Amino acid sequence: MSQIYDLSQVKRRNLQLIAFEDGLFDLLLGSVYMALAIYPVTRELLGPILNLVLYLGWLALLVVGQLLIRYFVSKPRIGYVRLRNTLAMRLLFIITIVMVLVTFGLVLVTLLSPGLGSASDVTFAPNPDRSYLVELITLLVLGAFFSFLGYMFGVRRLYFYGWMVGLAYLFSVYMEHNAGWIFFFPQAIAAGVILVIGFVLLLRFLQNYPLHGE
Amino acid sequence: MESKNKVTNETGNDHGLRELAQVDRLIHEPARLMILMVLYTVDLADFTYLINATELTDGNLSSHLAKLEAANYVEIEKGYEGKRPRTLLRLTEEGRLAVESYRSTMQQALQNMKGEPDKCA
Repeated sequence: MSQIYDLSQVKRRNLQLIAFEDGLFDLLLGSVYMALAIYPVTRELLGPILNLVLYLGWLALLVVGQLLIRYFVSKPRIGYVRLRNTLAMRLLFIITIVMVLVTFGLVLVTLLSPGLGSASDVTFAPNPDRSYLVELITLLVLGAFFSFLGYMFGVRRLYFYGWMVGLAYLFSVYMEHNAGWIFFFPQAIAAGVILVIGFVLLLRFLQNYPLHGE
Repeated sequence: MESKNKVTNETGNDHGLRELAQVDRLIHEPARLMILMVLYTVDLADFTYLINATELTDGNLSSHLAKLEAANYVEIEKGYEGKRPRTLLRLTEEGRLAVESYRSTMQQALQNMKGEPDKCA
């Protein structure tokens, strides 16, 4: 009750209800990261071009699917709201769009980057001297991005997601270069955790927000 | 010049508490305050959203909205989205000013209420 006197808390609650309450954001995020964990395997099977087409198609399907579920399932339960077009909201919107584009760019770069080679590559040798600067930067970018989102929207699990996914990516690349793992197992586990949280949130949402007739 | 909100006489009946008497009682009711605070932060919301945001029951929300509409604090627009009825709610300019006035009055009153309460033995 005390938070109703705090306008910034009310604004945050509005954003949480619209964007994070139904768990669809988590499911989308988990699906994208799961796809990125599997991509080295499918690239072995399909080749880089077909793999890229497959992943872009999958990404489009996820985004469209999420929008449809949000429109037909979440919106009738949460209700309709139009937020005020304040300077802070516009700024938040622009920053979010830029961050999403940067993430999308990173996904593309990852998908297009050359891999280690064939899974059956007999010349594979561990490379303990490899620099992990790019992966460390990715960890910091993901950690900072999700922490920013978590802070702005007041959603604490986003802090956890950012650092977990960043660390999982670093560990996956390390294992790829030192143990020859083609499947990004740590990243798949991180994506699995996000998917489980998303499913739990979606079930809880369906239970807590029944359809409402006026 | 002594401020109106400070102690000004020996009877002690002017300790800034008069601010509280000026509070808009229509807004001061917790459920209505919740409704207004939510509507203050958005441009427009429908009935379902307001139920979720305030966690009030349908009947409770309807009766409070009727009072707020009668005071011209809230504008209610009934319509349809497809075949489903939809009630859109928006804070009027008068309602927005009333919320702002309420906030400043309460902030002033609470500021004047500083100090340690007497402790019982």
